[in-house]
Amino acid sequence: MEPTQLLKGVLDLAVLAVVAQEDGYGYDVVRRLRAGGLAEVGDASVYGTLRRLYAAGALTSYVVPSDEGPHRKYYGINAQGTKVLAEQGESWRSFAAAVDRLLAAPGTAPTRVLRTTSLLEDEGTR
Amino acid sequence: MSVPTGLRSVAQYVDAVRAALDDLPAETVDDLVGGLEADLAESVAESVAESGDDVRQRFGPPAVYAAELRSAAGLPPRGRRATPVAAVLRRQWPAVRDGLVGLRPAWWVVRAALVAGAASVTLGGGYGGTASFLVLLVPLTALSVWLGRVRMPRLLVVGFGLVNAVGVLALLVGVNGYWVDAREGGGSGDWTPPGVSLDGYPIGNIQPYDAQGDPLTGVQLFDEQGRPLDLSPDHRVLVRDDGSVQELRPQVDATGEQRWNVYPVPGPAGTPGPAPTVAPLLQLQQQP
Repeated sequence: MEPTQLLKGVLDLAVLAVVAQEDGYGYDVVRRLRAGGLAEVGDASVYGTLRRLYAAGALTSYVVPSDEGPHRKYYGINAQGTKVLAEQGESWRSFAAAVDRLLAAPGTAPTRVLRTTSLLEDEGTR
Repeated sequence: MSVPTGLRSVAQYVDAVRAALDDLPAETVDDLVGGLEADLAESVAESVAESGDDVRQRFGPPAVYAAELRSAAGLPPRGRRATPVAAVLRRQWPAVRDGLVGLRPAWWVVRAALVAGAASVTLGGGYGGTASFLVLLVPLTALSVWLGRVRMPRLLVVGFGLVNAVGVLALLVGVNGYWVDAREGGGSGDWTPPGVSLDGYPIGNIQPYDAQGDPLTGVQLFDEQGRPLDLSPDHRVLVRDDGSVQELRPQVDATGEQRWNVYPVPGPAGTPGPAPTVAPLLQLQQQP
């Protein structure tokens, strides 16, 4: 599965977690997500997610004027967002734990499967 | 890259993104794009410092960026039918509708005139048709205005819309027909013979009389532009009572030119000219 596909499923959760730590404006959230290890995250995806979570009532928003240039739009978490974060965080943990267990189970050898596939592909192309 | 230039290009980029979202309600677009400029400016400032990439290199085509933005925001992708033209029309529609609503009274009168015209043509053309048109026009206009102002059930409104559409079509067909008639008429029906004519028919001669009712000879006639009122070239003959035809002979001026605007045009040599058989019907009163 593409990393971006995985990311799409958990971006709401990751954005909520970042904003829950501290209020932030769009690019600030992007930077903290990347610093947290989600290097693939796209600017527009994060901005869109912030707008959607705000529209869904999970975030508050306020504008901070800037002397140097255009104003910044900050987002903060509210009670609704905190509740969503707790629920989705719980599902993520159980989901991730289940996948971890599957990957750790004896007899599973995803590396071998991958290797076979790539060998077959190599045979086909040669 | 200087800061002002960078900021300006970011602003242009945001405008392009906004344009790619213009099928969405303005409020939604404001929510999506609000604060975006500051975010992009900061991001670009970093990428310029790191790699020298400007806003387009950093974020790619604005349309793609806008698509990602709206997708992440949970909004539907830009519809195929939502072309810029359609978006413009949708934005302009309230103004257009208001304009059309303002024209409604004029339409009420026009459709009354259409019905009156159709009825009078059916009843018969000519003066009778014109009279019936005028007689019908007043009550039909009143009816039309009343229909335009009264509140009708929805089904009737739809039906009336259809009648209106048929009326407009009839108007277009009628105008087109009239135009074609006028054009073809100009080619054949309105043909007039050359030379002086009366009620569309060329005349054979002119018998001038003075104020006392005495016949005149050698009278030169010109129109208001100085053009000679020549006898029609096709009728420069004298038809006698016995059916014999003799050619008329025009007056000849000092230069030897034939003058067909000198009346009465004399008959052939040896025959009396057109006799003053027509007596003056009235003697003019002497002008003071």
